[in-house]
Amino acid sequence: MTKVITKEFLMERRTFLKWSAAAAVAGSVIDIDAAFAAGDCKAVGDISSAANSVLTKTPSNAGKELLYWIDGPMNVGLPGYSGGLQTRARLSCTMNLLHTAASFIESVSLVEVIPESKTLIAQTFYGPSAGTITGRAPYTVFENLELDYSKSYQILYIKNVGGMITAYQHTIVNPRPSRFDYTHAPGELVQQAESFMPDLVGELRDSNRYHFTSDPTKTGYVTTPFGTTQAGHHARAHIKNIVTSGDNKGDFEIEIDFMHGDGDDAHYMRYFLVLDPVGRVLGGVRRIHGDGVTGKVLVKRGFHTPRHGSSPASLVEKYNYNGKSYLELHGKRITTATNSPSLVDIQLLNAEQRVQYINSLSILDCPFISIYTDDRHHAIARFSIRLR
Amino acid sequence: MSANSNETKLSVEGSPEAATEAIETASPAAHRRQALSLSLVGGMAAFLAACGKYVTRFDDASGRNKGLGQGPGKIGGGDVTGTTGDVPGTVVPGTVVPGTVGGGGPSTPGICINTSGAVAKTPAQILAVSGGVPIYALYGNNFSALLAIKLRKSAVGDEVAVAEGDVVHILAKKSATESMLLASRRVRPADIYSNGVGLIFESLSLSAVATTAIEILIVKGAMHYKAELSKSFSNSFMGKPVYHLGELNQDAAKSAITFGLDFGKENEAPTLAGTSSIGVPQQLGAIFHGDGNYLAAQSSSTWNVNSVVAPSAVPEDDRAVTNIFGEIIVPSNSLFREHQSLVVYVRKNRTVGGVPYDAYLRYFIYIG
Repeated sequence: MTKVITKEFLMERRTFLKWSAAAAVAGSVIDIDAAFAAGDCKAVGDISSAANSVLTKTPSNAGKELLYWIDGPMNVGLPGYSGGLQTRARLSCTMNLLHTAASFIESVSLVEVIPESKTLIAQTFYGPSAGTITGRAPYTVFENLELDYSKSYQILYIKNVGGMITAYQHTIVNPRPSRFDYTHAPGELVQQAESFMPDLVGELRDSNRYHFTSDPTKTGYVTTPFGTTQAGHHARAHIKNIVTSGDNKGDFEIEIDFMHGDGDDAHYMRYFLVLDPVGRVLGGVRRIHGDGVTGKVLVKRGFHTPRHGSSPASLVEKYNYNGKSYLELHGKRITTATNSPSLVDIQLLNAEQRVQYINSLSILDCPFISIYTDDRHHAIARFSIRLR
Repeated sequence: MSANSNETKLSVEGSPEAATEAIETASPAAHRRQALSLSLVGGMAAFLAACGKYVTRFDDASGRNKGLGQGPGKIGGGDVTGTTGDVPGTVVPGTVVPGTVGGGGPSTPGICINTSGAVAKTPAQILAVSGGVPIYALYGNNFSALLAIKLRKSAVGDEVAVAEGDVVHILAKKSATESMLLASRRVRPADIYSNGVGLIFESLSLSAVATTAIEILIVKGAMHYKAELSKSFSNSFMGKPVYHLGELNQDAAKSAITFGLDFGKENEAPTLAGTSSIGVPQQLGAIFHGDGNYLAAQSSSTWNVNSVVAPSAVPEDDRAVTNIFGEIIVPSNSLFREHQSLVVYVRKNRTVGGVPYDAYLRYFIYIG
C-alpha cells in the first residue's frame, strides 16, 4: 500500500544555498538527511517515521500535507505486468501553503531513494511571483517518469521564509496510480471526495465494481482513451469557455459527453468531474437517474446536481442546461441505497465555506485538468486536457 | 588544487588556488568543524568542497549579489558572526559581500551558478531536433511554461551526446557570469528515444524570469556543456500563428473557437492492445469545434490520423501531428510507446466579425 511520510526541517537559507547550489553543479540535490546529520538543519517535531505518518493526517497540519496525483502509463513498472511498454508516469503535486513575497516555495525536487543513496530525478525552482492566482504554492508536474512500485521516492519542498528555509521532506513509499480509494490520499482529498461524491467513494470500496482490485499490478477501475478495462468507456470533453479576467476569472464551461445512454438507476451516466492536477474538484455534476438529460453535461466551476421538484426552496438555482435547472450544491448528498432523487438529506456547506472553496482553486493555475466520468457500473473513464 | 584540462571550470569567481588558500587560512575552530562534518557526512562534505568552486552567488531582496562562499582567507561567516554561516567543508571561492545574509527579510529568488567556465556549444551541437525548442504557455496565466527539449544521444565532431545518468539544467541567463536555476532532470531510460534524449519540463517558472535567453547546462560527470536558447513561446506552426489553450494571439477570433477533443464514435477510440500494437489506430484524432461546428479538416466527423499524416504527405500544410518535441510524426504502432503527448494542428481559414485570419489550432493529446 502506498504511504506518505512527511518530515519537516528548518535551515538557514545561506546554508541551504551552499548545499543546494553545490549539489546542482554536480547534478545532484541537497540531501536534507545528510544536512541534518551534519547539524546544518534542525528537525521540527519528532521526525520518527511513526510520528510523521500521523503528522500528515492531522488537520492542524493540513498545510504540510503533500497533495499529489500519479497517472499516466506507469503500469509496466509494476510487478507482474508483462510487456515492453515504457513507463511514462506523471506525478503532480502541490502543498496547501501560501506563496507570497515573504514566504514562498523555492524549489521542489523529486528524488529516488534506494538504500544508502538518493538520486535526483527532477526539480523545479520558483520565485515569489510563481504562485497561483489564489496565492498558493504552484502545481509542480514531473512528466515521463519511470516510477517503480517497489521503490520509495522523496519530494522535497523548500519554502523560503526570509533568511530561513523550511524543508518538507515527503517520502512516497510504493507509489502507484492514484485513485479515489484512500490508499494514498491525504486528508484534504479524502475530505473532499467524501463531501462531493460519497456514493462514488462508497462504491469504490466494493471490489466488485469498476474492476477494482487491491492488486497493484492492475489498472483498476479507471479507463483511458488508450488503455481500457472496459471497451467503449472513454471520456470525451470539449472546453467551451474559460474566463481569464474580470470578476468571474477562473470560471469555465466544459462539456463532457456521455459514455453511453442511461440504463436503469444502477447503470447510468452519473458523475462528470473536472479535477485539478492533484485530484481536487474544480467542477462537477452529479446526475440523478431519470433527470431527462441526454448526450452530454455541461460542467461549470463548483459542484452541481440537478434540481428536483422536492428541492428545498433555499437552494439557489445556478444555471440551466439542456432545459434542466441545476443547483449549486457543495455538500453531501446521498445516504439512501436506492439512489433516490430525494434531496432531503443534502447537507449544504454554508455560504462562507462555498466561497472559500471556490476561491481556493482556479482552473487558470492548472497546467492540465483531468476529466472523469462514471456510469455507476462498468467504468470510471478519464483523460487529461493540457491547458496550453 | 589545480585545473585539470579535462575538467570543466564553471567558476571564474575565485580560482581553485584561492580555495586552497581559504582552507589553509581557516581558523582552527573551523578546521574542527570541518573534521567533525567530514566524520558525520563523509562523502557529502568532500563533495561539497569539491563542488564549491562552482558555486557563485544569489541575490538578496534588494538585488545585491551575495557570495555563497567567502573570499580568499575566510571560511563561512562573511556577514554573520558565530556559526550561522559556517558550513564545514564548504569553503567556496567567491565574492564576499557583507550584508544581511542569513538574517533579514526575504532573500530572494534565486539559486545561481556561474556557468562561464562550461564548454560553450551551439544549439545545433546539443539539440537533436532542428528548429528550436518548443515552449508552450499556460492558458490565461503563463507563469507556468512547458518546455520540451530533445538532445543528441550520439555525437559527431564537436557535438555533445547525452546519456543516461547525465543531468540537464535549465537556467535563466542573467548575466555573463550568473545563471539562475529553473529546473533540472536526470536522464533516465524513459527519456531516451530512437533519435535522441527527450526531456519534458512541465510547470516551469519561465515567464516570471526577466531574461531573454535560457541556458541549457549539461552535467556529464565532471564535464559541463552549455548552450543558449532564445526564450520564445511556440506561437506559430508552418509559419502561421497558432490558436491554443495558452496564449491566444488573435483575440478577434478567440470567441469563435471552442477547443475540444473527440475520439470519434463510441467503441472506436484507440486502445493499447497489450504490448505490440494499437487496436484501432486509425481512430486517433481530435476534432476542433468552432461556432458549434466541427473544424476538423475532413468531411468525416472523425479525424483520421493515418490520412492526416500519411507518410507520403508529410508534412501537409493544413494539418499535422507532432510529438511534444515539435517533430512531425507518422502514426505507427510505436506511437504510444514512444510518446506521452501528441500535438495536433489544424489550419483554418475563417472570417470572424469581418476579420479574416489564417491560423492553426493546436491541441494536446495526453496518452495515459
